[in-house]
Amino acid sequence: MSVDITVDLPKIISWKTVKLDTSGDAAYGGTISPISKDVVDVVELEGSNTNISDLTANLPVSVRSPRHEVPIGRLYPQLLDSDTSHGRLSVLVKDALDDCRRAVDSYQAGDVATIDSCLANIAAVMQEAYGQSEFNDNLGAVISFVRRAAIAASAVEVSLSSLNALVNALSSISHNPFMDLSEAADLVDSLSDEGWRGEHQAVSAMLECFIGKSDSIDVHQNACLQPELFEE
Amino acid sequence: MILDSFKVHSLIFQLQYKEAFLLWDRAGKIASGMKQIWSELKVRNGVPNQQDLACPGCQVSTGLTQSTVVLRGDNVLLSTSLEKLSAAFKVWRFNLDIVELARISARAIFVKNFDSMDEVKRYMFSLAVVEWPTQKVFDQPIDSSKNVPDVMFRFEDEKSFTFVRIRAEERKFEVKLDPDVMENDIKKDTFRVLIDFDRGNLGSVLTEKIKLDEWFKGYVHVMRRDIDKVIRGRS
Repeated sequence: MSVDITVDLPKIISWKTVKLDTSGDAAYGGTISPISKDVVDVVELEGSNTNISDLTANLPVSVRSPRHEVPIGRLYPQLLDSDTSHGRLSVLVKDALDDCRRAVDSYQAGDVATIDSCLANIAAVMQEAYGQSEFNDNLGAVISFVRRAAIAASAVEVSLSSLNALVNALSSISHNPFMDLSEAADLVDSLSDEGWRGEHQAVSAMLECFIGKSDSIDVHQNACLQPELFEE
Repeated sequence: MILDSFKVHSLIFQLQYKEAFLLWDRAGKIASGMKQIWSELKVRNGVPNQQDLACPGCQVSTGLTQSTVVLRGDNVLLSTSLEKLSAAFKVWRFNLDIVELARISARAIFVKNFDSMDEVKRYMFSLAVVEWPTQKVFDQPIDSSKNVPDVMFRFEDEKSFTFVRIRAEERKFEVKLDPDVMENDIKKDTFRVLIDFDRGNLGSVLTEKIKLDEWFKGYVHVMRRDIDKVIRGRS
């Protein structure tokens, strides 16, 4: 799209200079600033050629942009590239989402075995996805929660609303991989509210120790918890 | 990749948005915020609808519907510079209460210097961007030193755009000083090729959804991934 609008803009992006003759500029209407005695740098950015009128720093401010929302893949193209961790994670989350939707269909069909299989797949995929989530710790925390929740759940315990909550959570991860801490916490809370148990056992035990509850698990004596602290 | 033989020259980062009338109330706070990021900034120009601050290597313009940062130097694509751009974005976002952007874009300019215009032309003709005529055309002298290609590729739709431009440039720099300071004038001619990569998003972009560091990662990622598909040497 090219809109030819002539607007007399102030020279906002050029520094003063002494006499400067740059080849080719005359054809574009000239970008040379007035001669001055100051000796500073020149950044040549302006041009009257309409071919470059919508270059960044040249676009007339009266041009109106369309008002549709920009898809996340356009804002962050690395999400669509399988050569990046972002892209690989996007693919894995989509796989988990497909499994979760299959679990919903199986629940409605009463197929318990498929639900179990889907939950196992989700846990495995989330484990792999966690390895690609280094660019956002908040996302990593949610993925880790989903993995543990999928491991802990069984087909006979899940409900349709809990599966739908998991679908929504995975869909949120897919659309917002750069979520902040509050968004991540909200997602975890929404899953917990629907019965998903994804708390890290060792972290919960440590918190209980710090808070000082006397009936807490003795982390020092419970050797099987020790590897959990360093698992990921 | 062709850019490996070029040096980064400058980076321009720009936002466009609906009228941010709070500019009239908070111009000072914005200038203070920018000065905390680039401590040497000084006021270059100040009118109600736009304020310009500048220092060597940096220029910041804040306007009613458009704001721009121009950085100069070969470190402008490194994380330290991009962190400063993220900080500037926050200053604009929170002081102007910008909820939605109409356009966000960045333009990186790369240069490769040569010793003469003949070398520039040989390099340009070695790239597979244009077929240069081997005979006189348009009654223009075939041996003029100013005969160079200037090629622009435009890829765009309603959601985003990418413009890639490659051109040759001869710059003559001359400084006349008081003879008491320096007897001879300073003159310098430079000959160079510029690659100009301009990419941005159009439409409605919620500012709370923008992670500028990730946005720039995507910018650099597609640039490095695809620039050789557009500009490459002849095989």
